[in-house]
Amino acid sequence: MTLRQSLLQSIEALKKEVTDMADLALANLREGLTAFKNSDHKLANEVIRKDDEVDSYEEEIAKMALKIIWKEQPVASDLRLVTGILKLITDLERIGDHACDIAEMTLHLEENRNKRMLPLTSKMAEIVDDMVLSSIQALVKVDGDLARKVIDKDDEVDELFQQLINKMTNELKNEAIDPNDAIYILMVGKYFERVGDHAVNIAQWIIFMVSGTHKNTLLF
Amino acid sequence: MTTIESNIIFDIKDLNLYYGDKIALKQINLAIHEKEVTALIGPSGCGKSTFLRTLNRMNDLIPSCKIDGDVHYSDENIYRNGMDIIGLRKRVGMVFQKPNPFPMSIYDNITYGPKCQGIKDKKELKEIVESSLKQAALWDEVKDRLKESALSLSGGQQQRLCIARTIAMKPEVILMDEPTSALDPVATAKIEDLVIELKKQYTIIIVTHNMQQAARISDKTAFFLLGEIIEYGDTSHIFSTPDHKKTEEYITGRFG
Repeated sequence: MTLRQSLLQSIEALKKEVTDMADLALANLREGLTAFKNSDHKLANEVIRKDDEVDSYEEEIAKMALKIIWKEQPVASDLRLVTGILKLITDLERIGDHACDIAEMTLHLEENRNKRMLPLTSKMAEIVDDMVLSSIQALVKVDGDLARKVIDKDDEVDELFQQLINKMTNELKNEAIDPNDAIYILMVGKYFERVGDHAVNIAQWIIFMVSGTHKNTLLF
Repeated sequence: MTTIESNIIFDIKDLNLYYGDKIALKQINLAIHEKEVTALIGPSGCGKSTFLRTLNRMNDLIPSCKIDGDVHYSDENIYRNGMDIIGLRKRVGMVFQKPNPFPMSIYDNITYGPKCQGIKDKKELKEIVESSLKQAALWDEVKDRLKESALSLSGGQQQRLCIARTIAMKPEVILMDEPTSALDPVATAKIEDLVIELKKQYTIIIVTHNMQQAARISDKTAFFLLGEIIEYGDTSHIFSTPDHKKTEEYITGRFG
């Protein structure tokens, strides 16, 4: 018989809540990307509106995690899971913020003005979507191997962002793009790149949940 | 991670202990370090108290108890023939679950052991009383009532008196068998603070059912299960990233 039913139940509830938050952050990110790709201002406004929901998840999960700590005093894998979640919800919240940022940039761009950059930004979007999805799957399964794959993917995003910078620089030199559009598109590229970084941060906390080690440092 | 290795004071090798036909400790191998607090944890009946009592041969008092293997204390096998057991228990003192002061004055409780050892000089005895009570963090509370009965003290004070009584014998090691299980939270906190203070001078081995207590006060932790040591290591390691699945399941409350 399990002795600490209330601890186990609280942890299950916490895991469910963080999964829901991650699903919402990913859904918002995807809608932000779609809005950007299709210059869909209506959808962009919808994404901006939904950011508050992600924020309130962060507060609620922080409260649940702190309650488990003071009430149940978890140790070992339970402690690593609860503290890991407490850390990675900041990154989930930031992913939600950046979905919102991408939606805001979309509102500044006239329809079809970003079309020529779409091959690059779409590729970035595809990779960060995959990274965020994999980091959520790694979180649900507490899977260190999957988390490591997320970290490995980050270089691809960084490389694509550099390509976007180079391309923009050339376009601006040749006066082939409106400078305002160039700034907004670059900012969207930067937000993609940051979303990739947050997926990496989440993956690093999952590795901590498995091993107690964060960025190659044993934290205990 | 860096660990400063201190000297080994107890080195236990292939220790088995039987109560009649029943084996209570199986193949125990353990090195206990000097001036550290070592916590022994595990479910009821796992052998931790039995193991503690092997360290000053308290199990000798149980007729059906048989032991094989070695318990080296300061390079001496304490189970060798001709071992001075009284001398051993003087160097390896013990504090029990329930405070057990003698039904005599506070002062006489402390001087009882030294007097048995032949110390008669009143000035010396007085010094032992003062220094033992100070080390046990009890002096300020009892210095004006040393002639009163020890039984008039509160449970927590009685337990600290028992620790002072052990200290009066100038031991090297103090064995503690669930020393706070009969105490309230304030008295428990005082004993825990005292243990941390005492390890500067003494080696302390403590059996506890309170996992948080083991985490708070010990440097090393040994997890016992069904008479075996499943895992032994730095307390920070055991309570954060234990190596063994059974340790993980026990400390996280999956079984008990």
